[in-house]
Amino acid sequence: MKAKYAPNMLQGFLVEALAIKGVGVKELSAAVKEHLDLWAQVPELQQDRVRGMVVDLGDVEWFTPDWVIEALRHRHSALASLFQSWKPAKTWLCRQVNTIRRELDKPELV
Amino acid sequence: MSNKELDIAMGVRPTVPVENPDEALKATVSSSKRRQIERSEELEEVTHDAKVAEAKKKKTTAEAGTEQAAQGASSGFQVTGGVNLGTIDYQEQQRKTEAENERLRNEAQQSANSAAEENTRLKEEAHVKDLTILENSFKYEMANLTKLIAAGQANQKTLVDQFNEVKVAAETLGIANPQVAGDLTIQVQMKKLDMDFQMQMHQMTRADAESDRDFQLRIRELDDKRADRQEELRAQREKYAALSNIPATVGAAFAQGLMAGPESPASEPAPVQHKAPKGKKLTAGYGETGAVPCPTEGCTGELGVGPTARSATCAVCGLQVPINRVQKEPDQQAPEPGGDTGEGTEEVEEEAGGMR
Repeated sequence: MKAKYAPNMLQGFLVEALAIKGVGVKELSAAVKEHLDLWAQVPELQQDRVRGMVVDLGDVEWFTPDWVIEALRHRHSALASLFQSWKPAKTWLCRQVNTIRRELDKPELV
Repeated sequence: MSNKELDIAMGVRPTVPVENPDEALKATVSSSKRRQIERSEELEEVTHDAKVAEAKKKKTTAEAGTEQAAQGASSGFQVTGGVNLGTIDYQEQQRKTEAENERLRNEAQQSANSAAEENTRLKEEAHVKDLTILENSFKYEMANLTKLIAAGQANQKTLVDQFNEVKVAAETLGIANPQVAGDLTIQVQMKKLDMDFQMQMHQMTRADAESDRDFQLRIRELDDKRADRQEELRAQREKYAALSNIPATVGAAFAQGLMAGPESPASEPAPVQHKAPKGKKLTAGYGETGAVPCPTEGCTGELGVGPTARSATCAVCGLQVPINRVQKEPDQQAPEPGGDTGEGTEEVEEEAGGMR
């Protein structure tokens, strides 16, 4: 059940988190320029919880940059557009996804 | 004896006229009598000496006759006779002589004592005189020194006095400065007071500036501390807010996930990207970033423009719009922070229509 609804739950989490943080195109552009590490921004305690949750979820192969863009497409269309049209942003997103997958002991995307 | 008396005694007439003949006559008579007495005493003394010498001679002769008689008796002849030499009491004479000597000795002793006393007294007087002289000399020197010191102190002239003296001397020599009017002492003092006032004002200004600077520094430090504290509080607030919003976020995610159904969002077909019609393009400054609404009618999506992006693709409808980078004004190049993060300064325009 958890694994079935996991992508949608993470999508909701991601959308709400961005809305709460007020992340827009400018903030995201600044993060891309600064090569901000998203996983490092998560507290260690929360990292452990995310790891535990991912263990419960099992397969997270769906967690890709394209999935992130799709997840943001409706609620944060500007961010999704930025990832689509600005190559550095797309590269940064790929790197962040790979970092998170590596931290979750999952194979990185090639 | 004075010369006058001596002349009178010698029978010389005085050359100086006698003022009182009676007194001069009395003096002459008394002097004659005294001289007669002295002559008689001298005669008696000479007579006495002659008698003594005759007695001694007779005694010597008698002793010689006695010896001759003794020699004649031993030789068989004896001469008998006698000479009355009178009574000579040697002991009496010796006593007199001793008494006289004793008297003379006493007199000499008394004279010596008196002389010693006189000497001592004179020495003491001389000592007292010396001390008095020293004291007077010391007082005199002290008075002179005091006067000298007072005169020296009185002669210590100030710069103003010296200047006035020079001025008087210059005026005497005929080279006085006619432009200088009034009392220079007052002017110099006024200048001095003015300079002191300026110095005090300068010091006060400096003190005020230092105090103001210290105050500004203090204010700045406090502002920095306040800003740091506010930043720290804001970070903590955000941290706690994020942590406190996790359940709500998770709840929202659950709700969205449940409403969306089991399908993954990635499973939805992505919109086909298509280029914008000719003439439609975005205009943005170099390095400018932001978001603009999609120009497609009916599309609710926004176009995200990266700092170096050459095109923007709508994530909803797939419209790909080129971006024209232009040099913009500084105020337009640097949007104010804290504004609407979703809204940029990009413009979508048509070549002919200039849609904005």
